[in-house]
Amino acid sequence: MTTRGKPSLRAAIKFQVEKFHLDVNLRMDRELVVLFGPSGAGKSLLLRTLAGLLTPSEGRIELGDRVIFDPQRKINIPPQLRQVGYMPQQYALFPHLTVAGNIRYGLFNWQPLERESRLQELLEVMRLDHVVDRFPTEISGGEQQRTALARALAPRPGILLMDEPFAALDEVLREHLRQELLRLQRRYHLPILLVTHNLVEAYTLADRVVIFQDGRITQEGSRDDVFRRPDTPQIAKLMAMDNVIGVPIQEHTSVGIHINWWGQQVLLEGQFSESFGDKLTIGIRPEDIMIVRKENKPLRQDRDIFFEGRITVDQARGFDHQLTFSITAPASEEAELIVRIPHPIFLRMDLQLEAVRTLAIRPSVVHIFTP
Amino acid sequence: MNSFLIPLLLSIRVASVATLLALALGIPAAAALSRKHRLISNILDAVANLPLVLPPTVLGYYLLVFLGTRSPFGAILENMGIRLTFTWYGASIAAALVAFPLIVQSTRAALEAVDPTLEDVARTLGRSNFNIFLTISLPLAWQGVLAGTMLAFSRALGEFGATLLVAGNIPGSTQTLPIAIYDAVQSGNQDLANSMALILTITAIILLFLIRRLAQGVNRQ
Repeated sequence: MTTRGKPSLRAAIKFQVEKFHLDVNLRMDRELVVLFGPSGAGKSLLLRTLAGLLTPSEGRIELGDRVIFDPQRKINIPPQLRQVGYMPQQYALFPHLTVAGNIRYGLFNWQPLERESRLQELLEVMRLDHVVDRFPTEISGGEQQRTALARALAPRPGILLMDEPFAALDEVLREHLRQELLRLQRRYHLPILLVTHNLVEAYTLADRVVIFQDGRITQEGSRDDVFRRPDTPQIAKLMAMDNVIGVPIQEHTSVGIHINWWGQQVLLEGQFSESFGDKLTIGIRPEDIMIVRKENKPLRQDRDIFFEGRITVDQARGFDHQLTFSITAPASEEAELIVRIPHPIFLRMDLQLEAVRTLAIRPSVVHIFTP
Repeated sequence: MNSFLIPLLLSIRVASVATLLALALGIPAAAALSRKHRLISNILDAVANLPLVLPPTVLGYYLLVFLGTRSPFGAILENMGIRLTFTWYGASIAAALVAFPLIVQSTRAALEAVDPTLEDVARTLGRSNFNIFLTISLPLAWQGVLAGTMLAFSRALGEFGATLLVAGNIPGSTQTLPIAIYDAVQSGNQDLANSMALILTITAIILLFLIRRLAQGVNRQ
């Protein structure tokens, strides 16, 4: 029997819960897929549905070679038999059982010898040997998270569903445990569907990102696809592509599109088959905009687009600064660009409020939204 | 001295058996009620709380009619050589019926306080719902069950109306402490009534104190 070629999970489900409508078509292989979306989009609902804890109104779910839900064929495998590892938010560890008791819980029908060797294996992989006999309230947040992970993995599920697994941890620990999860996934090639609304998490973990809004998938692709080429301005906002600008089109030729960007003639190269009308919506990631040093006069022969702006807002965010520039030249209208730069660069460039700087944008980083 | 020892020991025996009976029926009832099937839950809820609202004499009367030798059920028992009315078994059943809602309410509240996500995770780990009830829900609700048990025991210990109707007032056989107090007052034996009332009062205070401690323990978690 070949498992290659067959996706690990194929789900097409429709689900109406009161006023909320879930309509999802999802396919995944032995990869880590991040389900990313704002709170209240129905991400947790989708996980619970896949686990069999909720029953959708229609659709079909396949896990590996098995059909686990298909109302037309009267199939609705209960959660007990789905072999789905489920890690809910806040882990839901059994408070009256020890770490070992929690991990053993799903191994109740194993042979005692196998059960104990599986337990030892997981304790070792998850580095939990030192807390075997402690209760969940007596261990650290990171240990709780690893215990929940070990418990979910113990019966060797066909897929792992994780709901905000890092949300309850501090930033340093979070980064560390993310790397651990990645290592684990690479080692066992376990399909993992992970829910998060943390952008950094989505980017660092995902083989593939699935954007989820209002109960449906609005875009999916590689992480760079969704980060650099969001389908809509709304997704761009979710992906922290903060500069979304409408510009009039002057000419659409075989070389590209000529636009009038705040009074500047700019050519965005490329073949576009779509007809854009007379207006183009473009997006630029704040970290893709360069601030040109005072002493370095911008070189016009570079293909960069230059704007001159005055800093109106400086938002320090620990690792970086988010600066809002009011564009003063060449435009006369009210225009703004948001720029993110790392903290040390911010310090060296002598940037205070009201400082006027030249901003450089490479045309290749300008994303064009197709209508 | 001996005149209240016999009713006291009988009372403890009746209340213990009644509490066990009420537990055996009350825990499954509470489990059924804590599920969220609305219609079934509402009907069961009304039935379970009926003994709290009805006067004990009414309960006792129903039990007498139902268990008595002239009822079909009583006749069957009679043929098997079992007699419930006017025996301490009957007194236990009467006390169990009165104590039943206390177990149900307390257990139900404790079961509903158990995080349903724990049960969800347990299901994805392959355990049956009944198994989850025994290994997760009930162990996490034990304080509530215990509090209910103590309340039920104190209530069963003090049962009067239903017991009198079902089991009568037979010294040494069905004359429990509350009935013996009634008897002593009727026959003008004030001293005996005083000491027996004192025993019941002290027992009740101790039990209430323990329940209170238990509730504080739950809150601290």
